[in-house]
Amino acid sequence: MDAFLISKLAFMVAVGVASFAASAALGWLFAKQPERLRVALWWCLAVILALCCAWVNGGWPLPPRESQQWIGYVLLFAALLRSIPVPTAQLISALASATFGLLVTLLPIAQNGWDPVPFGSWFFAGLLSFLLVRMVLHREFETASLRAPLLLVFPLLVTAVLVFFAGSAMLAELAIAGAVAVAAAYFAVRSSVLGRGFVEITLLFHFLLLLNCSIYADLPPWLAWLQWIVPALVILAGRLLRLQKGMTRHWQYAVTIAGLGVAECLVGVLFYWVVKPTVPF
Amino acid sequence: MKKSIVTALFLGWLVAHSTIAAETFQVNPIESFVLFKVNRLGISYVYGRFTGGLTGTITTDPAAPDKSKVDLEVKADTLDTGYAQREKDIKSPDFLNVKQFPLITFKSTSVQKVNDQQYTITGDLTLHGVTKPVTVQVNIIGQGKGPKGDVQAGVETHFTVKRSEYGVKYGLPALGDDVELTVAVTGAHS
Repeated sequence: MDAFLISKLAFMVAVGVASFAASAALGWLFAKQPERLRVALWWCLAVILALCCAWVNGGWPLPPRESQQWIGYVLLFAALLRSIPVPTAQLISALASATFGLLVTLLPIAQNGWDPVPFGSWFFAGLLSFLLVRMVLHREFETASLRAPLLLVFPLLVTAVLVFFAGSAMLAELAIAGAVAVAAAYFAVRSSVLGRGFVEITLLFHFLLLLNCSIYADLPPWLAWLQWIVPALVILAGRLLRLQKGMTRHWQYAVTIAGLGVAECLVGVLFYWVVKPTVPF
Repeated sequence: MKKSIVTALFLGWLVAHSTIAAETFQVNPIESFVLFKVNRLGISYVYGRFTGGLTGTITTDPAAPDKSKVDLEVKADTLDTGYAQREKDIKSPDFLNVKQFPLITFKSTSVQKVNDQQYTITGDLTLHGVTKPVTVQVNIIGQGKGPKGDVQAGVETHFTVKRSEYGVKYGLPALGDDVELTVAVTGAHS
């Protein structure tokens, strides 16, 4: 058991170190080119997360046989699309990569007897909720504040706990690895803005983990959806409060972080109450 | 007189052989079991079974045993290990991914009679969406009339597969690669 836990910890440390080192190196290389740094960062993140998926899945099958084996490919596709220096490609990158991600996740179960109606419902509901959350969160990453990575990292850590007790230790491991990679990248280049591409890759990764767990494991779909929209709800509530109360930006940040903590705790409590998890082994 | 006796005997022989035709047994899912065990942390075994999920047919031809056929399938989500959280894990994408791969199947490709009580069957085992050939030794337990007057037969086999060969790699080596299976089938035909 010790060897097993040590191997998992070593994996997380390796992800953190690789992400930190790669981001720091890119930060130094593109110190005076912030736009190129942002492009390099999202590629770095996509590659690291894809390698994490390959490690956890026990290989990099081509073509992938299972939906979770597609996650790395979807992230690399998103990074590629985002890199095309054509305004249309940038505009549709989120739509195209989310569509790709949804199709490769839903098709395996659709082939096992799903009607077109549930398939269509899952597809369009998933696509809409991804695009809406991305739209709300994108604006929050135009500064280099600590709040930005917290909005990405903290939900991933909570998702790891939900997903673990919903039956998938593998997806939980991926969620933690993702959180570590994002946090390490932020700390490596914290004076720089992470950029929308970086945010898009992280959101896509989080979205696909929740989607896989709600379809193929035992995470209740409504709970997965709630966990997905929590950061966006918190941001919207913060904006509303700021408008109403005339808060300073500093107070708005503090309220957002506190709100995120409270909202994630509520999701955790709901999950415990509905699923009644126990330790698997 | 001699000729008519010989003819009668010959006709009798023909009738006797024409009635020894291939018999198809329908697998009784309630009386059939698929059991497995996997080493856990090198300390103990995790035992489990597929409860009531085994179906299929066994076609036997006493005159030509090599023409017999075995066609079995198990619904992977009937897995039972006595602990719901563990079953959730095994059915999840970590291991069997039952929602994507709902069936485990075995289709024989060759049957060889070893003796009256034993057969060697080679076939394609499809597990987790991967198909690989396996060869198993099958023991005949018995044959007789069931409570409903149907003819029942029971067979049993034990074999081991490596789950990594079927793409089930998560948790190695803490959870063993070798999965030891016991398949006990009761078939019936009216």
